[in-house]
Amino acid sequence: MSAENKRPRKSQCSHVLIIGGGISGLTAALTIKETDPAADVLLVDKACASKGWAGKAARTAGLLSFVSQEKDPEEFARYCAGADIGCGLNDMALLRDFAYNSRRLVEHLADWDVDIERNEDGSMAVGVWPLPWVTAGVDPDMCRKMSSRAKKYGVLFEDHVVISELIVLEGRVRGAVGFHLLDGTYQIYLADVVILACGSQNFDITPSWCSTGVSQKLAYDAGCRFRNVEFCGMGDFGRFGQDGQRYYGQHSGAHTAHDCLYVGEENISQKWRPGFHSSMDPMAAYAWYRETMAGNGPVEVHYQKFRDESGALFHFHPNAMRRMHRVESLAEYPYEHEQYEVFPGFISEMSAIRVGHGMETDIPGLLAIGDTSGAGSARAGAVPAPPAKIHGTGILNALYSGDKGGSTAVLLLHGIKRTGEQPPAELLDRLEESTYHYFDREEGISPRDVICRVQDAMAPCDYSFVKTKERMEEALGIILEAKEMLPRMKAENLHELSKCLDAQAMVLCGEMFYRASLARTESRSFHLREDYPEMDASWKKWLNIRKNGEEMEIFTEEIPNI
Amino acid sequence: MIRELNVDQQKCIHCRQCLDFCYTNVIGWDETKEQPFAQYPLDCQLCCVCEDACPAHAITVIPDWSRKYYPDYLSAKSAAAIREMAAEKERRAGK
Ligand SMILES: Cc1cc2nc3c(=O)[nH]c(=O)nc-3n(C[C@H](O)[C@H](O)[C@H](O)COP(=O)(O)OP(=O)(O)OC[C@H]3O[C@@H](n4cnc5c(N)ncnc54)[C@H](O)[C@@H]3O)c2cc1C
Ligand code: SF4
Ligand code: SF4
Repeated sequence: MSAENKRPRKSQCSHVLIIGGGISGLTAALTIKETDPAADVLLVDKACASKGWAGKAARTAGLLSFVSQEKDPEEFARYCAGADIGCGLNDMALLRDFAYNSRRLVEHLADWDVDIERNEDGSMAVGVWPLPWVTAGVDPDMCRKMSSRAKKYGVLFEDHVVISELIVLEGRVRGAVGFHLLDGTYQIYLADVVILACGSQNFDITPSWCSTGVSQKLAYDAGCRFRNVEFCGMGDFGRFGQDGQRYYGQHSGAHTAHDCLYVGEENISQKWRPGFHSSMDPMAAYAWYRETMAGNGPVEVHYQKFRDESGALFHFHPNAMRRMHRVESLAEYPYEHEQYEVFPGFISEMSAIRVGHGMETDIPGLLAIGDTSGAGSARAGAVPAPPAKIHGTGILNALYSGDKGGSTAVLLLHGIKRTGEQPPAELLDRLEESTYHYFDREEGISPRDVICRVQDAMAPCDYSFVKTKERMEEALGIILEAKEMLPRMKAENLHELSKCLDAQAMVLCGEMFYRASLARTESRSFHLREDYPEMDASWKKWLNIRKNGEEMEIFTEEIPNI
Repeated sequence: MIRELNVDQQKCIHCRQCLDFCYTNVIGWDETKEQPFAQYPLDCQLCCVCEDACPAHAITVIPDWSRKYYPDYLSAKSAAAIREMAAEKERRAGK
């Protein structure tokens, strides 16, 4: 772009910049203002966070799990670290802190006017599991209340802005840049502390699980370490409709049917994966895979049996119920006595930015919370987090890490010597160029072509759930093919410019997933390898990934003995 | 993956709030009709928040599942092995 033809620019400064205004970003903003009302907080989101419509919150089922007074936090921590779940790869100190703080965080929601389903006597209406937690029904529109409280506290918002790059100067984060999704303005944000709260990587396959992992790309490019990436392959079952149409996720009617899959009259979930499981895991997909590959299919769910046998205990808020019923009717959800064929549906929850106990990353001044770092915090161990095999811990994790990250931000602000130094103009020009270059060029391929190619490498259950070296190398080959396509992308409009960023993040996350999965030569919880079917005690350590020049460096990290 | 966002012209009060409801930037504004439309329909997640939150109940989401790209849920080799097995079964049954 020539000098006289410069696009509009807008520059802003704040003490804290929060990127992403879902539950975690809003919790951090509120926590900062409640701790230090003088701190300037600016919250930027590509959707409309100022009115509480950004993020996944309004699209959830509003399940909120926590350790109630009657349950034991120590037992919760032991359960989460146990076989089939954390499998010894948990940061136990963080996990115990999470367990002990969960009730306080849920009770604090009332101070922000967030509604939780209650009994007539005013106590919380909860589903009590035969496990060490309970599940409440929270208003999925909780962010509306939280954003309105944040505005009262003086938090500033910028809506419809896509953050594309972090500003890192001499190893320290100094802000971020991006573009306005509606008018194309180049946006520059300078800040002393930056909090990444912009969600996970879902590879945009299952509807509603549409996060595209830009958080992971921003952190990777800045030099952050990643942890527990190989466990981030979350999945579920989808359903074939009458016309052969595939329905996924919430729409599928098979969403929580992992304990009651049938071949004929035989319950194959119980055959391969006996007992009661609180949520989906790769063994459930393995049951489907083994029966299908043995020619025993179709694998089916009987709706009535599912209703009768599912041990799930949920209490929904009326706002969640109303929306779910509408969504179900749009997808011709199956009704009583029907039986239908299912297939494994890929969701993924890649949230692998490595953070410490204060949600600090490796880059000074940069924090990562909520769905950006659930797995990378190692709180949950060898599982994708959320949901870490416990429904309702996505919201809890967003509250917990938002609270932690907000407190850390305040501590950092008080310890920082501000220089007032501006980033060099050449750096801002270079970041502008990298933000817009897919838009400014004459021709190229659509970012959707790249995204579909990445999806081809992630969705097959025998690539991403039931792994072998040979199949993973095949999948990685597809990802590398997609990587070669990246430089040829062309954005026809600002919406597509945002898709170009998504495509880059998807390629990166796919590559990290398969490289880490190839490196871990054992099976452990959500990492299931047919060629290494046993858990190997010598692998009781974390894998880290970091950018090293143009290479993806992989190395191990010992787990502290607490 | 919607065919359209159906807006009831009798009900719509042109308040523009729906431009903020969508988290995937699907909804644009039609200046001539002064009402919203599905500008990027492929990115609709069928969450139904826009329907639910419109103060005039003017929006109906019309899904079109066939527009979504569905990556395969089995690798090409496994899918071919299953097809081969099914064909073999049929051959045997035929004999
Ligand atoms: C269908 C569904 C149902 C669920 N049900 C439940 C449930 O019942 N209970 C539960 O506990 N959990 C549930 N979860 C998980 C839960 O919703 C999430 O864990 C939680 O909402 C995450 O909050 P967050 O703030 O970390 O991230 P998000 O809500 O994903 O917010 C991230 C924000 O960042 C913004 N953003 C992303 N990239 C950029 C960028 N480049 N620039 C600017 N902004 C950006 C996004 O617009 C978004 O607003 C569900 C998830 C889904 C998808
Ligand atoms: S929110 Fe409803 S009433 Fe308002 S402009 Fe949109 S469709 Fe019309
Ligand atoms: S249904 Fe949801 S994703 Fe689709 S247009 Fe409405 S708000 Fe957007």
